[in-house]
Amino acid sequence: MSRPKLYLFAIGGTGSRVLRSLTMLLASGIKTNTEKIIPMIIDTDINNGDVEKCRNIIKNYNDIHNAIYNGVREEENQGEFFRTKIMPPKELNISGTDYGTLKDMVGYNSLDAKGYDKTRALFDLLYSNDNKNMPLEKGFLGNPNVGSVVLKNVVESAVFKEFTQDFSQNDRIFIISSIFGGTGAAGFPLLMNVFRDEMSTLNNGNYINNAIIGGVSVLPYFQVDVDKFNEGESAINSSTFITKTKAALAYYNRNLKQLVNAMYYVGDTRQSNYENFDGGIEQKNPSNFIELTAATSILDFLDYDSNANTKEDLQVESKFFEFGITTDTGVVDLNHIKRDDLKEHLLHFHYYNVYVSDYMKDALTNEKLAWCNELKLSNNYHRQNFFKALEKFTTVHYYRWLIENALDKHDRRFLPFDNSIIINEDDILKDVSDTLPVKTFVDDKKLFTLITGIPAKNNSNFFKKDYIKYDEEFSKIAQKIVALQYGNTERMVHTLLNRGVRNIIADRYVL
Amino acid sequence: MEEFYFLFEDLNNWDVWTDTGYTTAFIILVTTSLIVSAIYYLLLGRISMRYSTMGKWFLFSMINLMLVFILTITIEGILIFDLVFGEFFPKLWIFTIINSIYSFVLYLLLSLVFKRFSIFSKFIPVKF
Repeated sequence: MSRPKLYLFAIGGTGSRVLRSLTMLLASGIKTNTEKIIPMIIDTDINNGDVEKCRNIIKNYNDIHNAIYNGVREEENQGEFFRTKIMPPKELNISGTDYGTLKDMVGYNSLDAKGYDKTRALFDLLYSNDNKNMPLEKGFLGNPNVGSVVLKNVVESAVFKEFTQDFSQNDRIFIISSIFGGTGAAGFPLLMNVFRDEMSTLNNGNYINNAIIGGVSVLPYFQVDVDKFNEGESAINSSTFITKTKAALAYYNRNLKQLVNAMYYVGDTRQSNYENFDGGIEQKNPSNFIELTAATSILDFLDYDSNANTKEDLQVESKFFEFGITTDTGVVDLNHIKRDDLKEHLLHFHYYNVYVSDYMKDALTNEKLAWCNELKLSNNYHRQNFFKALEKFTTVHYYRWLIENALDKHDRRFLPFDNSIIINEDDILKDVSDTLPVKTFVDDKKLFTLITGIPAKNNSNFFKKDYIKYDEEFSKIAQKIVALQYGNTERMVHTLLNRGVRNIIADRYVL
Repeated sequence: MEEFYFLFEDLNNWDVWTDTGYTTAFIILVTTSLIVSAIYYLLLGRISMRYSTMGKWFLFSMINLMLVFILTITIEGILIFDLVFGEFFPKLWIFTIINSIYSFVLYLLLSLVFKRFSIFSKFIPVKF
């Protein structure tokens, strides 16, 4: 049987940010046991900055993936950068603007009619006046009780129907949500109940009902400026995150644990401090190590009981996972990551990105360079779309992701690489459009110390200085790449970069 | 051999020149150019990319030219003409310069042959 597709429901701002970190992991070439990933973004706040960032990075990823791997068989080039197919995100947009407030949405005023007084009383009991009058355009602002009513409309949407029509027998579903906010906390139980409803009238309802479903629930890992809440400038109060989490966990324990097959919990007591925005384009929180760990749970889920096609095939009906690091450190680097494949891929990918940002354009404009000529690259290859897409991914998305993960506002920073190669960090942090390319400067010496705490092997001695030479390595293997007869220049270039970087890392690092 | 060195006015009054002068110079020319281009393409061109630039290729052509110049003037002067150091024989200088110019041309031609056996200098001095 072919490998399963993964329908990945990313709910709310956290969902989109986890998706962004997942895209980085997939770009690093980490192997996934899936035919393709189909992200399904659920957010009532259609202008959410995190969602926009997520859309852009996946589009860039796809431009690269499609140029290299279109028509390539699934088993080929596994483990290479950008290998896993991610479909453009499907957005289950239920624009809060269309609904106005919760009151408008449920037709609260019509409950004045005779015979509805008990319904109205129940509604008043469940929802405060603030809840009822809250505009829905910026999400549910930490009110899952509101979200649970509004999100019901997701299931009625055309995109959701498309998903049910496309769903095949051995496909899997994974849901990313935060437990302490509004949209995620409401969306996860709602989706689980829809998927596991045995009386469901959905298309392929039987397949969906029997599918292996996993989820990651992100526990509190950041706090927002409480003053803004106290002053009435924002409706989000992070001092209630823990209480809400406890309540939600108790609910999950009672009602969801028998529905979900693999449940991952991630969170952090060392919290990040974010500005307090009520959603919208300004809600653009920086990437965080916890989101990366949540993204790794998706990879773990794809390997979870990989021979099982439906929930009946699973050895254990439900399993629960947590993520931990051995040392409680404020700065996490590659030494703290125990998954060797993840460590290796991140290391390879970083050296690849350094080449793309600092060396590749010069190489492509060097008319005498052996590897470029062996691959018969045109003189203007550096101006063509493929190189531009690679450069954009590296300078606009990858380095920005690294900067964000290492920000001081995180009490636990993820700093796997030496960020001092980035020379315009201040400009990047001020750039609200997120389109400004990161500028880097790497000298010969720096190439040996790119990885925090793990220097590369340097064979310099009194008589000879050692260098890491990308183009020399690429030129050595260029003929072998040509001999593969791919018939696709982009695939050749990319395979060469992959294998060349792999050789360099094998020479220089013992992981 | 006289035809090969057509640019040079023959030293007809020197029998020894016709017999061995041309041949010795030709051997110096071919051997030196072969060795220098082999070092450039087959040795350095397969070890490191450091030398794979037009500048380095030209430097090696100059090394070849200088070697041919020095060897020609020394060997021809001492072994063939029995000259002593400091003795000036203008025709020998002219001949040596011609042999050196030939060495550049031969180095260029040998480059076209050897470059295919190199890894890093495969597209030097020309791309085809």
